[in-house]
Amino acid sequence: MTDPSEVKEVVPPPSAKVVTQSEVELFQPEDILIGWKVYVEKDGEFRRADILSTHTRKGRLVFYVHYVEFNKRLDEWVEVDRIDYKRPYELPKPDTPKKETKAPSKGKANSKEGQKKKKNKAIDSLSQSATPAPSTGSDMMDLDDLNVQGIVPEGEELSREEELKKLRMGGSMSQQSTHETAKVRNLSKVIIGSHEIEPWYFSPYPVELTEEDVIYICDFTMNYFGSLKQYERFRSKCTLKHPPGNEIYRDDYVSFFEIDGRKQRTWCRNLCLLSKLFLDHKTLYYDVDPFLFYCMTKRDELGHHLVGYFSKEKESLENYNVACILTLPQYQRHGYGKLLIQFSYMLSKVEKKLGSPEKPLSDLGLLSYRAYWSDTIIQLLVENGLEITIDDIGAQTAMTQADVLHTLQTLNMLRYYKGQHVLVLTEQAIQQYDKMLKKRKHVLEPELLIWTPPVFTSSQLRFGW
Amino acid sequence: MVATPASAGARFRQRKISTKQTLQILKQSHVPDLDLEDVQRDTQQVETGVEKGEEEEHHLQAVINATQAKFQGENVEQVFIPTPDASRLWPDATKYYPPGFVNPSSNIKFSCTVEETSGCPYNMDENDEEFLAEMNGALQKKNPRVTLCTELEFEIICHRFDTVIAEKQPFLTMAPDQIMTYEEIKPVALTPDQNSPSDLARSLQQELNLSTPFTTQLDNPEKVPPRSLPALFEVFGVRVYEHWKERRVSRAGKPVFPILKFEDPLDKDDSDPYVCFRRREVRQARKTRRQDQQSSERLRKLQSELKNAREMVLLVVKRELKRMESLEEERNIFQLRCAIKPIKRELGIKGDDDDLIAHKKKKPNPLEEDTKKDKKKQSMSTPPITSEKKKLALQAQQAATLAAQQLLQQQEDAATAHPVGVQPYVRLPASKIPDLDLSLTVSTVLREKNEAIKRAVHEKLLKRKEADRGFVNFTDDPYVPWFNLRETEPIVEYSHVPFSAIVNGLYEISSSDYLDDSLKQQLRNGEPLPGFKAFDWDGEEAEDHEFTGVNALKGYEAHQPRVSDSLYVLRKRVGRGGRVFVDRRGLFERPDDAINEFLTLESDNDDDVEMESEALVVNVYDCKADAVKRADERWRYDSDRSAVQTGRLQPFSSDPSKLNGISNDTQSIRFGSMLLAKSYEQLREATHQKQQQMLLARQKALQYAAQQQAQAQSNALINGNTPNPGSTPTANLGPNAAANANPSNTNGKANAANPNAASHPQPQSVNSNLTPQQIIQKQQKMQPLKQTQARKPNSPLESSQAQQPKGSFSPNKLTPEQQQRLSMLKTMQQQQQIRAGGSLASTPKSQTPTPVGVKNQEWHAAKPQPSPTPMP
Repeated sequence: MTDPSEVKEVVPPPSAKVVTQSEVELFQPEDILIGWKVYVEKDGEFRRADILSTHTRKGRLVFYVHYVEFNKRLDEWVEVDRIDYKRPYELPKPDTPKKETKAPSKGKANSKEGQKKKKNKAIDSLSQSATPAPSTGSDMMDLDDLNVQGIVPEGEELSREEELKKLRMGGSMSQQSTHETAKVRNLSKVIIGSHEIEPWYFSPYPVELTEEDVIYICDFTMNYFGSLKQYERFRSKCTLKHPPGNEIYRDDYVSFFEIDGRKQRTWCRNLCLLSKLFLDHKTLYYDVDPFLFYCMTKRDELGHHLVGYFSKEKESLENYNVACILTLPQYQRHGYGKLLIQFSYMLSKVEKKLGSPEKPLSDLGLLSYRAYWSDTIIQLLVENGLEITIDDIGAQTAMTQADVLHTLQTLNMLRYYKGQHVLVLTEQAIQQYDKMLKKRKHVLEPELLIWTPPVFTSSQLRFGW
Repeated sequence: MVATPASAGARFRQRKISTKQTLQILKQSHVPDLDLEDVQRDTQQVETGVEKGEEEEHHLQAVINATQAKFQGENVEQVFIPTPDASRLWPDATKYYPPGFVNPSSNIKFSCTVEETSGCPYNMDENDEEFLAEMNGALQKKNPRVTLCTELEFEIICHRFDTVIAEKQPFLTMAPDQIMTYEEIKPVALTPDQNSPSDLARSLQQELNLSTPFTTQLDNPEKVPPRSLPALFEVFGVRVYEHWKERRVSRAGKPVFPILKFEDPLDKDDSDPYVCFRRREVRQARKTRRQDQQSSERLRKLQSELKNAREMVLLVVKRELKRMESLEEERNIFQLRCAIKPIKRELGIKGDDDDLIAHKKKKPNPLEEDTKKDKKKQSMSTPPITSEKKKLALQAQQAATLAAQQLLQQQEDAATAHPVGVQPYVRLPASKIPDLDLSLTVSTVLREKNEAIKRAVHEKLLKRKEADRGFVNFTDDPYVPWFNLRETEPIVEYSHVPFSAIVNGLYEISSSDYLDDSLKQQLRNGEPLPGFKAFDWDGEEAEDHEFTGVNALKGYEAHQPRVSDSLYVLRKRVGRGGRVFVDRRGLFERPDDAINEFLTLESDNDDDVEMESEALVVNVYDCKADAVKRADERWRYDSDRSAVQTGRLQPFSSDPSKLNGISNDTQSIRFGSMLLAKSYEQLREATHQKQQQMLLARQKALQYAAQQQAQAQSNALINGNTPNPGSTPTANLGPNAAANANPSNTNGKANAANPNAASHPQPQSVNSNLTPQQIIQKQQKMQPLKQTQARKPNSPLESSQAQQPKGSFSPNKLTPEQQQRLSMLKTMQQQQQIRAGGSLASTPKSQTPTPVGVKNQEWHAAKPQPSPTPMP
C-alpha cells in the first residue's frame, strides 16, 4: 500500500494497449490468480499489470502488481478497488517460460539486433567477457556493433549454473530472472538514520524482519533491527561514526572511504543488503570478499553519513571499474551520483587503466553515466584544441573507447563529413558546456585523493574459505 | 574505402573507426551541410547498457527521448524517472544519534570491525524489557536495597548464555528441548572466555593493576560500569536463564534474534532467495606434508610475533601508566604548594620559598654516572703507576704545580686509555681537553701514510724472505725487468713498472702528468688549456702566463715522466721433442742490416737456388725463398721493438675509464702490488699444503718400509738363533730401525745416526729419539731439487725445468698453443739462419743452442742458478 510517488510527467498509455471497455464486470476479485494480466489504476489511468502475488491483509484481499513497461520499483500492493473489472484479463501464456522482465523488444531495430546477436554470440562463446575489452586486439571498432553494455542478447541468457559460475569468478550483477519470491518487495519501510525510505526491490534480510512494518537501519554500521527497543539499545552502545575504513579523499563537501569486503565482512554485508533494496540486478549470491567498497559520506556533527557507494572488484576479469553503484534514495537527485562516477574514474586514472561499469546498468544508472560521460567529453572537446583521437579521449578520461564512441554517438557528435569521421561540437553541446560552467556544481579534486591502488597477492584473491 | 562526397556519405559511410585515427573537432557552424537524416538513423541504433526488458520501459524511454531531443536542438522539459518516496524524515532520529562527532583534522584511518565498536552483541527488545521490569520489580519487593539489574547487565548475561550454547550445543536446532540447564550452563559461563572482549578487558585490568575498568576508545562509556559476571549470575542468573531459555526454545533453538540465512551444506537447492553471501567454493589445493609443515611453521612464527607485539604493547601501556602517575603526582605537589602559600602568608612565615618553586628535574644520566664510577675505580686501582709517574715527573725536575697538572693529566689518560667496555666515549670537560698539535698538515699526514705503506711492503718482503729461507725458488723472482739505463728513450711499457719499482726499487716515476697529443697540439698553437684560466695580481685575466699556452707545454715537457722503455716481452713455446723456445721482444733490435743483406744476397743467388732445387729432392727447408719469407714473418712476430716503439700501442689512452683521475702508473703500482701480494699468499698456501701432504706421504712410506725391514731383520735374527719372535708387537719397529736394517735405503744419514739400532733391545726408544721431521729435513737437504718440485706443483715450469732452465722465464707470457706451433717452425729456422748465416741444411735434431738460448744463459748467469740441467 505504498503511496504513488510524485509524478513528473503524464504520458498517455501506449496506443497498442487500448482495449475496449465492456459494460459489465467480466470477473471478480476472488477469481484473480497469480500470473493474470489485468488493468490497474495507476496515477489516474489504467495500466496493464501482472499479478505477482496475492495476500489477505487484515481481512482484505490485496494484490502485488507489476505494471507493464514500468520499472519494478513501481510495483506495489493494490487493493481490489483499483482493478478494472470491465476490461478483459489476460491469462499467462502457457508455453512461456520467459517472464515479463524479458518481454520481447519490438520495433524496427529488431532485424538489426538479430544480426548483432550472432556476432555477440561468437564473442561470448570465445570468452566470458562480454565487454569489448579495451586496448586489446586491434584498434578498429565497429560503430554498428558497439557492445557497450555487455548485455547478453535475448535468447542467449546463461543458464543458472553458468551464471553462478561466472559470478564465482567475479561480478556482482545478475541478469537472471529472479525467483518468484524475490519478485515481490519484502520490506515496506526502512528508516536509515533520520530518513524514512520505501524500498524498491527485494532484499534477503532475515525473513522474520519482513513481518515488521518498518525496519531500522543504523546509519553508521548499517545494522538492521525490527525492534525499536533493540535499535535503541544498539545505538546506545555503538561508537562507530563513519564507515570502518580509511578515508582516502576529503574535501569540504564529501569524503570517501575505502573498505575491504574481506576485512569488514559484517559492514559490507549490511551495506549490500541495504543497497539490494534499491538495485534490482544486484546479486548477493556470493560473499563480499572480492570487492572493495568506496563509500561517499557527508559530514555533520553526528558523524559521516553514507550518501552512496560503489563497489569494485579487487581484480576484474573484464576491466570493470565499478561493480555496483548506488546513491541512497534520500540523497538522490543532488548530483552525488555524478561525484561517485567521477571518483570511480579518478581511481582508474590512478591505476592507469580504462574502466567501465559492470553491466547491466539500471535505468537510473544509465542516465547518470550518460550524463557524466557527456559532460566529461564535451568539456574535454571544448577545452581541447582542434583534433583528437578516440584513444586520447579514453586516456584522458579513463573511459573505455567503446564508452567514448557510445557517448559521441548519443551526443550526435561523431559525424561522417567529406569522407571522414569528424567530431562536431554541436550548438547543444556548447550550450550544455556553458550551462555546466554557469552551474559550477561541486566536482572532486584529484589532488585530494590520497590513494595507492591496493595490491593483493594471489592467495588474497582466492575467495573460497 | 574511398572518400565519398558528403551526400553519398550518408548511405555508404565508413562504419568502422580506428581509435588511433585523429579526428578533427569542428564547430557545427563550420559544417553547414550535415544532413539530419543521418543523425536520425544514428540515434536509433545507440544501445543503452540497460537490460533489454528494462530498456523498453516507459519512463526510461521518455528520458532518453527527451535527452535526445535536447541534443537535437529541441526544447524539452526536464524529465525524471519516478522513484518511490524517500523524502520523509523520521523525527525521532535525534534520540538515537547523539551529536558531538569531531572530524579529525587528518584523514581517518580505521580498521576496527562493526562487532568491535558495538559493545555487547545482545540487544534486548521490548519483550526483554518487559521481563526485566518485572524481574526488577519482584526483586525490589523482596529486598528494597538490592541493586537492580541494568539493561546492559541483562544483555551481558543473555549474551553469555548465547555464547555458551553456540560453543557447547551448536546444533541445538535439532533438539531444542535438550538445551542445557542452568546448573550445566553456569560453570561454563563463569569460566572466563578469552574470546569475549569483556573478559579480555577484565584480565587486562588485572594484569595492569588498573583501578578502573579497562576500556578502549571503541567502548561507549557507561555511567555505571556493569558488575562482574559471577556477581550478576549470583543475583539474576536463574531468572534471566528461565526467560532466555523460554524464548530460545520457542524459536526452536535458533538465536532469539533473526540472523541472515547462510547456505546449508546439506541443502542442495540453492534457489532460496533469502540465502545470501555464500562462500565461493574453490578447488582445494592438494595438501602435502611439506605444505602442512610450512603452514604450521608459519603459524608458529605468527603466533610468536603476535606474542611479542602484545608484550611490547603491554610494556608501552605500563610505561604510560607510570607517566600518568607521575603527572598526577606533580599536579598534587603543585596543588599542595598552592595551598601552602596562603597559609604561609597568613602566619607570616618568610623564607623557605625555595620549596615552593618547581625545581628543574635533574635528569638522571646513567651514562655520566657510569663514567664517574669508572674513573673513581680506576684511580683507586692504579695508584702504583701514578706514583711512579709522579716520581718520574719529579725526577725531571719540573715545577711542583706542573707535576701536579701532569699527574692529573696522566690520570685522565689512564682513565681514557683503559679499555672501558661499558661506555663508548668519555666526555672530557673543556679545560681538560689536551691541546692538539695544530702543526699537523695534510702533507705530513700523507707522508706518514706513505711511509706506513712503504714499511708494510718492506715488512712483507722481509717476511717472505724469512719464510723462503732454505729453499731455492725458481719462480719467486721469475721475471726481473731489465732496464737499459743507458738508453735515453723513456720507458713506455708501463705495465712493467710496478714490478721494477717494487722488486728493484730503482725507478721512480717523476711525475704523473700527461698531456695527450691533441692537448699538446692545442698548446703549441698558443691556445690556453680548456677550462684553464690564469689571473694576474690585478685580477685581470693573464694572457701570457706560465700556465697557459705554450708556456704550460714547456713546463710539462720539462717535467715529463722519465722512465725507461718497455723492458722486454717474452713468450715461451714448446717445440718438437719438448724443446722450449722463448720469443722475446725488446731485448734486441731486429737485425735489419743483416736481414737486408741476407735478402739481397738471396736475390743474387736466385739462380743457384733453382739449380739446387732442380738437382736435388725438393727440400722445403732448403728453399731459400721460403726461408726468406719465413724469416721476415718471424721478425714480424718476434720483433725487438716494443709495441710502443713501433707505434702500435699508445702509452696512455684517452679512454675515460682508464683515466679515472689516477695516473696509469700509480694505478698499475697499486694493482701490481695488490696482485703480487695476493698471488704470493696463494702460492705460499698451496705450497705449504703440498708440503704437508708430501710429509705425510713420506712418513707413511718410511713407516711401511721400516716395518718390512724390521720384519726382514727379525727374520734374519731368527735365522741367527736369536729367540726374538718376529711376529710379536715389539717387532713393530719405527722407520729408522727399518732404515738401519736396509743398507740399500736412500736414507743413509738416518742410518748413520742410528747405528746400533739393530742390536738394541728396545728399538722403539731409539726411534723416538729421532722424529720423522728431522729425518725428512735431512732428506730434504739431500734432495733439494725434488723438494722444490714439491713446492711448486702447479708451476708450468715443472716439466720444462729439467730440460731447459730458460723455461723459467715469464710463465705469464705464454701465448695460445696454436700460435706457438705456428711460430715454432719459423723461429727454429730463423735461429738457424742467424747462426749459420744462410746455411739452412741442418735438421732440427742437429740443432745447436739457439741465440735465444745463449741470451738466456747469459741472463741466468747473473741470477742464482741452481744446477742447470743440460739442454737436450
